[in-house]
Amino acid sequence: MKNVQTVPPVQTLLRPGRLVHRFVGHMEQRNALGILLIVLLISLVGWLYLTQAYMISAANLQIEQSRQKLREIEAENATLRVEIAKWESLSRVEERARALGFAPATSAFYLSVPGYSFEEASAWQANRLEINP
Amino acid sequence: MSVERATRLRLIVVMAMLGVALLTLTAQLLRWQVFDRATPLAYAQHGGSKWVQKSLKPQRGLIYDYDGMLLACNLTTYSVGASPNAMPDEAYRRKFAEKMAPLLGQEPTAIMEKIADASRVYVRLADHVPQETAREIAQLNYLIVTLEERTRRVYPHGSLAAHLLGFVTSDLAGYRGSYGVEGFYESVLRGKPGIGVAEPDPWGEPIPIAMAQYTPPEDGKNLHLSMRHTAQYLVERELAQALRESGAESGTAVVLQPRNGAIIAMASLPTYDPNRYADETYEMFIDPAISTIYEPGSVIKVVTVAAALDSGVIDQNETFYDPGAIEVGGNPIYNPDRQAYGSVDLTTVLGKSLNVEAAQIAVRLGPERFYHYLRRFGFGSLTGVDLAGEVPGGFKTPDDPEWSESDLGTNSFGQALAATPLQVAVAIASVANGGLLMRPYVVQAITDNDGNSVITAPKPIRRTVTAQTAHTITRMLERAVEQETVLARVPGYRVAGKSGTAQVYVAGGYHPTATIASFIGYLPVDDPAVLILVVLRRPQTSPWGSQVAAPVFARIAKELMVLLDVPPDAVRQHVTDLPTPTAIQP
Repeated sequence: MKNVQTVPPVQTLLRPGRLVHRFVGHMEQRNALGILLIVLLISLVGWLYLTQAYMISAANLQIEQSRQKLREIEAENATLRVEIAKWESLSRVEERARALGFAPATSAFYLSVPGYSFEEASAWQANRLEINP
Repeated sequence: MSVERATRLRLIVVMAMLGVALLTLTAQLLRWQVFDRATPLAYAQHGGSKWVQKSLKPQRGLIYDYDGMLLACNLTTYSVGASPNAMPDEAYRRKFAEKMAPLLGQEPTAIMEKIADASRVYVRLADHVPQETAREIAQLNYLIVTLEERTRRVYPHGSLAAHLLGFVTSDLAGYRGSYGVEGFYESVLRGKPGIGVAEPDPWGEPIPIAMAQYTPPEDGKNLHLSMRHTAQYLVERELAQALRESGAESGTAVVLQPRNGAIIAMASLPTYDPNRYADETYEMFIDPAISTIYEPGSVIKVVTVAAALDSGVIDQNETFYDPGAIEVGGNPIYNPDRQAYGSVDLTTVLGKSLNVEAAQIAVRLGPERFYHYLRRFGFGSLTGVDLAGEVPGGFKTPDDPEWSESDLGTNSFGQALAATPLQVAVAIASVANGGLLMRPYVVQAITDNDGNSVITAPKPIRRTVTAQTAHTITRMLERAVEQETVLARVPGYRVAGKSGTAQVYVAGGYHPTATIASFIGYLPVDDPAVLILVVLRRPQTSPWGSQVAAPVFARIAKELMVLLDVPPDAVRQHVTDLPTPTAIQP
């Protein structure tokens, strides 16, 4: 019986799986392994690159969010400091004190404490410099 | 063609195409990396690349008073805008306006007016919107709303110490301090902007971790003033009361420590709110304490007498004959009350503020010595105070062609001589300080956020008179207050002081009735803690400094003594005399 070779349809020939199968089938096993290794290496590099890019983007976002948060907290802090300063302003304190029934002191009384040196106290007063930012 | 052959051909074609692509890519990379390296490098370095540069704004330094009270700081506010062209219809616009109105503190109709033009890409709805409100607006998730962050300088105490602080203006060039310490210390407060160069993200903002260059901004340094807000408040309060009571147009008060020149309080009324400087006229920003000259009047007699004593022209026990009038350079000079006092001593000359004797003493001094001492006391030159806008004042000297001998006579009692209130205060403070003229200052220390600080050291400028002369003058001024200017007395404290009443110069001569009334004094006499100058311009109830300015001095001085923890003379003397514990041990 004559061995008749039947030709498969064109669509079947062009299927990627079949193409690879046929291509690999004609290659040496060593070559195929080499190509596979190259493909794997490229995949690995790609994966590393994508992972790194993702991590950079994530870190970037995190930094930006932290900076934004810091700005907000600083702004809030500044607002609170202004509020405190406003509440501590003497016009407000005086108004509140008067509303509570307090009156301005008309005179001050000083007590002499034995052993307490006024000179030392004055020197301390003159030299003190409170810096409380 | 067999199938196998056809497949192989196709594979060869594909491989060849890939090979060509790979070779092209390699060639191009070789060109960029090796052969034509300079071109892409220059492109990247000269801004032609996609790198973005961002200026990183520094925070302006804060201002505190002596006790650490915050006087000026930065507040983040927001400008709210919207895009009317992105609003689909009228109903949407109305609903939007109704939602935004309560948040922005506006009427819905006002917002509707702003967004009425549907062709506009952007309209500003509100400025200076606080952070809290901005957050609420952001939570509404309107894509058509933009929130622009802005920094605003805020003065929590409103008009308190407005002239001393100044304010910060903003224009296209950025923020800039004007007047006061804001103006003088602009370069210190401003800080240095940083630079960030980086690849941009899809929105054009630099990617923080891909910074090619990053120079962080240097925040401005903080200022700590010698001014105490408590003293400033009471000075402004008393000055306001004085204006109400005397009907004066305006007033200035300066409080400083004679021993080091530190300004504890300095106020001028009327004043303004630096938070709303845009609502005021330019004239309001000028600080009358350092930028407006006036004729100090009889306060200058202190300088005239001190100069004569210091140069040995007169003796402290000398008596003078007062005929009630004298002619100097052809110009008649009278006493303020046009009375003749006969034989008088120097204390009476100062106490009754006799013009005739002051002119006599100036004539005996001679113009050369008299003007030499005026300069030594700092008149005619800047005091060097660390505030923006100081003027030097001035006076004519024999070198000026317009000078005549009559000027010597009038200058001796403070007329035809221009000075700022701070100049007068600093000059007399030198007498209180044993004859040593100190440079006045407002900033006590400059600090940065790293904890470094530079503290202002008191700076003596020169000696005006000897310590002996200064002591003698102080004793005379003390007796003058005890005997004549009784309204300047402060219960429990010995006070040295001198009143001044100067006519107001108007075009063509002096105003017939208007005066500038002032009083300058210091206490306690044995160790002056403060010097206070009060100047009232055009008072209505009385023209005399001893009548309208002296009581204001007394009120301020009395409260300042409590505020600064200075016990009355008797208490201090008693405490100082107490034996120490070691001394009483057996």
